[in-house]
Amino acid sequence: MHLLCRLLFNNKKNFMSFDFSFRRLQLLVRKQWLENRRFYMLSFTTIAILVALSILLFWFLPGGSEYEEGELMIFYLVGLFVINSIFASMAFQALGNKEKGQYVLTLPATHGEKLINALLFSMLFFPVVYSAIFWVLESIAVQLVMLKGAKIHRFTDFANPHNVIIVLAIYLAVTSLFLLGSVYFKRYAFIKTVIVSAAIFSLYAYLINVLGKSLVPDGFRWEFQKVFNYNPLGKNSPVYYEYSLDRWAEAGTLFLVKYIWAPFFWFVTWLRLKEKEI
Amino acid sequence: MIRIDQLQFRYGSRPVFTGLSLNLHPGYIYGLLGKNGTGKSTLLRVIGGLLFPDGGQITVNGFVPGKRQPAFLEQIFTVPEEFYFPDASIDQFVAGNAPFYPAYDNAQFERYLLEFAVPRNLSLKAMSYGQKKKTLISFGLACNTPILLMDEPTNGLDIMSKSQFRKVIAGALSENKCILISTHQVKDLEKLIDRVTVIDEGTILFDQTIDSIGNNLQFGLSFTKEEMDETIYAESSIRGYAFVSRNQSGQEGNIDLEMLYKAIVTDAPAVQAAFQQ
Repeated sequence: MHLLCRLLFNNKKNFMSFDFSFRRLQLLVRKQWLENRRFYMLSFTTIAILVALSILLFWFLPGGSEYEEGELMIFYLVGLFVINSIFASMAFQALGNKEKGQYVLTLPATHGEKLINALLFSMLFFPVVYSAIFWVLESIAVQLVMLKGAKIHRFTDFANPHNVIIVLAIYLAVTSLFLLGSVYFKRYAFIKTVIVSAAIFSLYAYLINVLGKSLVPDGFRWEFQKVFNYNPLGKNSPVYYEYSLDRWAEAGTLFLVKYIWAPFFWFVTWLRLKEKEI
Repeated sequence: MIRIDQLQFRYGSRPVFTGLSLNLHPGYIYGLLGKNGTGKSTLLRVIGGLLFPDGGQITVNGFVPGKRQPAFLEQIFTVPEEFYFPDASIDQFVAGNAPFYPAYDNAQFERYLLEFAVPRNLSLKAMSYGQKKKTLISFGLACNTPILLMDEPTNGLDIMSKSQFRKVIAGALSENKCILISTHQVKDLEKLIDRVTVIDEGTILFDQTIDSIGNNLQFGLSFTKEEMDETIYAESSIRGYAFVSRNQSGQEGNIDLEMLYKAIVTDAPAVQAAFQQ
């Protein structure tokens, strides 16, 4: 890993000189835990109570003789995204405060190590603990339903690895966006990230819609990687045109669109950390 | 150790430094004096890598501070005027931060806490501002970094602690260490600093060693104005007239830092002329 980092980044002609130490990263993780464990314990206790109440009030009690485990998955995913986005948006909020920011920036570790430490906590530690809390409570709830003698429809969508990968990619992208927001915004990072993201996404959707209508001829439709003539019969239509990228270009573009966001946000966060002045 | 050459820095359109040059060497305690808003804290932040200069060059032990490389950061410790402590005990704070400083000495830290009479059992959040400051100063000294920057370190310290501060800092100096103390409470630094540097309008207004000041300036008290010879600066006091004049006795006298500072701020050319005789 160290050798790879050196090969990738330690070229003197490259503006990104990269210095990485596992020891310093380990010290950062230890420091983060020592200084915040009280807050984490309190947060996880609160989360456990909220999850238990949600399952009880919105799933267990209203259910009759049949239960859908899939409904619990919605609880789980909403909680995962919201809670971890909140945690991620707190990762670098210290930089919005002169005293705290100085405490963070003067600590002898690289910006990359500080970023990786934040990633480990916001994208690994928090979701793992949250998931553990959720699955313990979910298992108890399912057992209670079984004891009650009610029927339960198990959720199997996550048996398909592709679905898991997509959820994971979206989760990483969203959490990384909030992590970036914590460096950009001095205060109220979570709310501001939500507002700015919603505004940018709406603008993007609007522009794509306008572009789609103005660039594509009448009777045709543009769907991400292909343009085709809109016909209810689709490919069975006697006159069907479809213009698309070649297979590899299409696969490559799709791959980038799905997975590029998280690394892109990490890179911008790292740049922002490097250029941060207090 | 710290080389600053033609440093330029501005906050928006307001220039702070317009070509400041300064060299600081190990083995000395520097007193950085200046009016409020003249850039003392800004200079410490630039040296510490928290602010990036707009022009000129700055190197600290061969490092460019703005890059904030770990090898640089572990050689410098800053005690800011306003600082942050996590919600933790002293032991937790030390366990989390000390391993980042290779020369940290825990026995030294405990000794400083004892000398400053910091209650060991209190959590950092429960401490008063002065107690927190003494803890941070103790930690900063125990890190044994070659460079120690202190911004108004005696603010919030009681009289006994100020005296203890001078004693502790004087004892912590070594030939490899450079201590830079920025303050407007000049009395607190008396008999502590080796060199006085005064910043004004973004440039160095005065920069002399204590020995040189003692040899070239005389600080005295006179009952009548007529008794004062070649006075650079004088002010009335209850006991008569306090004055600063050229030292023509050839013997090194005591230095009144407050009077020196007032003389520099009031008539810098006259003070500087005393050193060119």
